[in-house]
Amino acid sequence: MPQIAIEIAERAAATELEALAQGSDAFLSERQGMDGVALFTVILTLTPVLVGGIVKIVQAQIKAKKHVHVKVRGIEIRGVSEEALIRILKTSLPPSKKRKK
Amino acid sequence: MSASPVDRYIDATRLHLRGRVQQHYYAESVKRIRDLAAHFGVAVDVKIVYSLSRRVEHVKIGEVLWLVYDQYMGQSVNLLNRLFVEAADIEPAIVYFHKVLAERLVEVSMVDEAIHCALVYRNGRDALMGRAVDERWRAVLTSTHERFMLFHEFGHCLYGQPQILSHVREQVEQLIEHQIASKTRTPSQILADVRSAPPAAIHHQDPQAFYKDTQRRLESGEDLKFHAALLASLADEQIRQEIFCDVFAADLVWTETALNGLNRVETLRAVYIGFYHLQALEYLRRFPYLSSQVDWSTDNTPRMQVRSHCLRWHLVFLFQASLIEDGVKDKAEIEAAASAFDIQLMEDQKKCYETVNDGAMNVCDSLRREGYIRKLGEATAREIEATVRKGKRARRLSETEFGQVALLMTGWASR
Repeated sequence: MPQIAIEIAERAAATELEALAQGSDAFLSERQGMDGVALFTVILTLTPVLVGGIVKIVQAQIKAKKHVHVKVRGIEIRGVSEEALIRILKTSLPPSKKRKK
Repeated sequence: MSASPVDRYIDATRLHLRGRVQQHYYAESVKRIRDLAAHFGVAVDVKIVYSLSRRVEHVKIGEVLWLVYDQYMGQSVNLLNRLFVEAADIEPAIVYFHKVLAERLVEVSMVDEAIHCALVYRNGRDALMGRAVDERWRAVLTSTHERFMLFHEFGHCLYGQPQILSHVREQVEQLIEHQIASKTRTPSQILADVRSAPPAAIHHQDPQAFYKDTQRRLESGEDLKFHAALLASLADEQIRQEIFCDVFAADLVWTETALNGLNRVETLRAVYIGFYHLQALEYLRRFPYLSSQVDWSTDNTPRMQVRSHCLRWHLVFLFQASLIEDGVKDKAEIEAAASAFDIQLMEDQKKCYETVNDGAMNVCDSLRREGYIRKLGEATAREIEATVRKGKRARRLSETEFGQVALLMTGWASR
């Protein structure tokens, strides 16, 4: 399963994301952005169960015009939606094994 | 065994190639950082990566501050140093910055635009063939700046401890005060200073024409917004921290050079030259977020400019300290030598613009004007799609595949 990074300026939203994946291996990191404002990055393993919750929080941040970036393997995802995240999940699945004849 | 949090952070936030990292190259600097962190009682550790981001950062995970250094950034600075040493104009820089931009655009999923830039790079990369001119000087430049970047980032890890490094903090306050005084001169003082400036300070332009242009600008007030942005930057707490890190890093690099018996003048010049490369790369990094209308109150240029002015003054200060350490006592002799060194820095700055920085501005400014990059990207993507369809493939290329094609063309990825 791929690792997803959600960088967010609002601490409450970051904590909400971390809590969303509670019981899994999610964790929060903190760095300073260019303007000195703290940015929080939640790292979690993307699973089908989390897709809806992630999209809801990310879209709320976008709507509120707050800083939010979503990355998978270092590539920023534009237009975060359930379809986009499910596509990432599908392409990350190992190729199915061919049945031996 | 599951990956550690910092490795998971790196895997998620960067496209990186573990196999390309040369840990041994940084062993000495990493040891120095770990030793100093232990000395100051700060929990800091270091990770060296080789990533498409060309980004050096510090990130707090749990109770540990991780300093993540990017070897690809060092490699890029090395290439810019080759251009600084060898290039006669900005043409090679323009070609190279198309590669940098292509890789940046892949990172932000602007793959059509990335393909265009990658193609320009691939078609023009012969301009970047090395000529092996003064490789010793290039090695000094690169090695100095890689250490400067590492130590600068380490400075951020220490800034939050007000009880340590008080001498660096005092120096920062003095540098800022000096810059505020310089930037609040009256128009007549400015004009008097222009009249007495050495040719290097005005990049060898015609003194009469430069004077008239300055006078016209002062009268029209067209630089007022930029000037206000410079003063605002000097009052900005974040810039104060950046200046602290610049001074701290310059001091550490200078001390190492002195301890190793190396040429201190070359090291100080290398710090300044590298700082301009950093500005060029930073400008390209911000390209996806730049609008065609420049707003000086939010633009990064005034912030970088005040940092560079403070750094130059500090380097001159370190140069004078070197002379005193060498036993030079005569005040007039020290002042004359410092003035000559300052002029050397101005000449280096001019060369940076002529071989590197103007190239970055040229590429970004021309591509962002009226959405030009979007149009070029769409046209190139259509061409690539048509070429692919002539072959056996019937389906459209996915965004990921387009990104992969761009990275193959820049040389980041291999087949």
